[in-house]
Amino acid sequence: MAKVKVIVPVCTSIWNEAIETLMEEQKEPETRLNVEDLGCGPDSLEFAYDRAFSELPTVQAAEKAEREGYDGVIIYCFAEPGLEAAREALSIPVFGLCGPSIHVASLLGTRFTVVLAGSERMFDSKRRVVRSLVGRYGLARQCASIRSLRIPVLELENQGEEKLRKLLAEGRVAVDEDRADVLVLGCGGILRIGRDAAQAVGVPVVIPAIAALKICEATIRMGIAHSKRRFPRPEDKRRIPQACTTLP
Amino acid sequence: MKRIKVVVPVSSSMWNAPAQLLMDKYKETDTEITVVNVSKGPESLECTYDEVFGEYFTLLEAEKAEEEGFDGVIVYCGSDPGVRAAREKLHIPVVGIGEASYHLACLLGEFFSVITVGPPDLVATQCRRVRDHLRVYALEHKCASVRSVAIPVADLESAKKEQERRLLTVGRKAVEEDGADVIVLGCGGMIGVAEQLTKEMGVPVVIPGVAGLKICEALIRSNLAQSKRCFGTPPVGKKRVK
Repeated sequence: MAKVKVIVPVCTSIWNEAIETLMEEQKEPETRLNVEDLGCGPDSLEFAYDRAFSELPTVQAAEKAEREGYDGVIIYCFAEPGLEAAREALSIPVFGLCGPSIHVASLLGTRFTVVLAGSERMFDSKRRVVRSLVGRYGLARQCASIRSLRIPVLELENQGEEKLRKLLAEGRVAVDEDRADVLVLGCGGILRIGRDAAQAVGVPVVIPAIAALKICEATIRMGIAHSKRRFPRPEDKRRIPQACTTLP
Repeated sequence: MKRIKVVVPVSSSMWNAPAQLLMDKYKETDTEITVVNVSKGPESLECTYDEVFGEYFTLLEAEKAEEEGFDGVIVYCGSDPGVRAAREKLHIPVVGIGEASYHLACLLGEFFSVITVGPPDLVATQCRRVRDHLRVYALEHKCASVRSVAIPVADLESAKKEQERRLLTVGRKAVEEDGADVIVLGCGGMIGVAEQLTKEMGVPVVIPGVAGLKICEALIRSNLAQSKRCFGTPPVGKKRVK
């Protein structure tokens, strides 16, 4: 039995149920899931500023998950806050949403487009962040383009139809103009996207929640995790671990 | 229930039982694995010349798998022979164990080394082939090095101790000299030899058959298959002299 902890690196619990439902549907029969938000940190991750508030509690939550006997951790955000730090601290596999999604996409086609969410004015900056993340995974050349639904993350859930309409529109442009052959949803909050969406765009659509879950389950089953050569365990020293509770 | 056909692209049946055992050990409870070798083709794939002979028969076996109602196909060879052709023809996911391993390795570290096999006089050729494939997958910049244990594929099973010994020597060089933080075994015939390497070197070792299996299961479960946009269905009614 594989126990997977899903950390939603924000202070709100509005995503937990939808994430759990989706993952429960797609998990292997023997996987046990636990989805939890931080209870502190930012409402959503759209700025580097937000990220700074999210990383420390995320790393602490990941460490707690390992202590509690979980076999793997998913940091449920495409920007992967705290991922490298958590990988240093933990020996069990830790994944964010971006890496698994873009590597799965690369196994399905040759050029993927990432479709982000977030407010209009943040698009350009977010695109740069994701582009550099894709580059760090070594997949810059496989990335056809980065587009956006231009819907603020916190409005994604109540814009059901608009979300789908924009996804299809962006997907079509990605395929026709950017020559993408796979779409990657670039935000964990783009949920409740039915199978018909993929059919309508005509290319596979990678849902990050599912990609991360499948890769996490796979590594647990294989008995491997991130390389400790690349992510060596930090030495013991003072790091004021209660910082989160002293935040304003 | 997920039914997966594993096609071993060689005419020898010597890998069927070890591959079946390996897959059965790592598969999910509701996965059913059928391993077959191709009836014609090379005894092993150790150069591009062999690969051409392996590809055609692998393709036929993959097409048959879809007709038989399998949910996914795994081509059981590190050089992924016929995978791209099969992806064009088939609608069920087609996974090559080489490509699956390289992507999984990228998710575990920064740079991986591939350790391959083959006759001593073909070491450079084998390493070139791996680099050729990595170039097609656009992952060559993630590869720290390609090395070989220089044992012919047909001898891998009988020379397991020697294989383990050489793997350790070569693996150490890959990590310490080439800067690899993940090791990918480059051949499906390298079975049951990863453990000691993992323990000694402290880096994850990707067993290609297992990587291919887990990726194939993941795709089936998430209802994904190759993009028909870039792996378009070949025209029907065209003579190809089968």
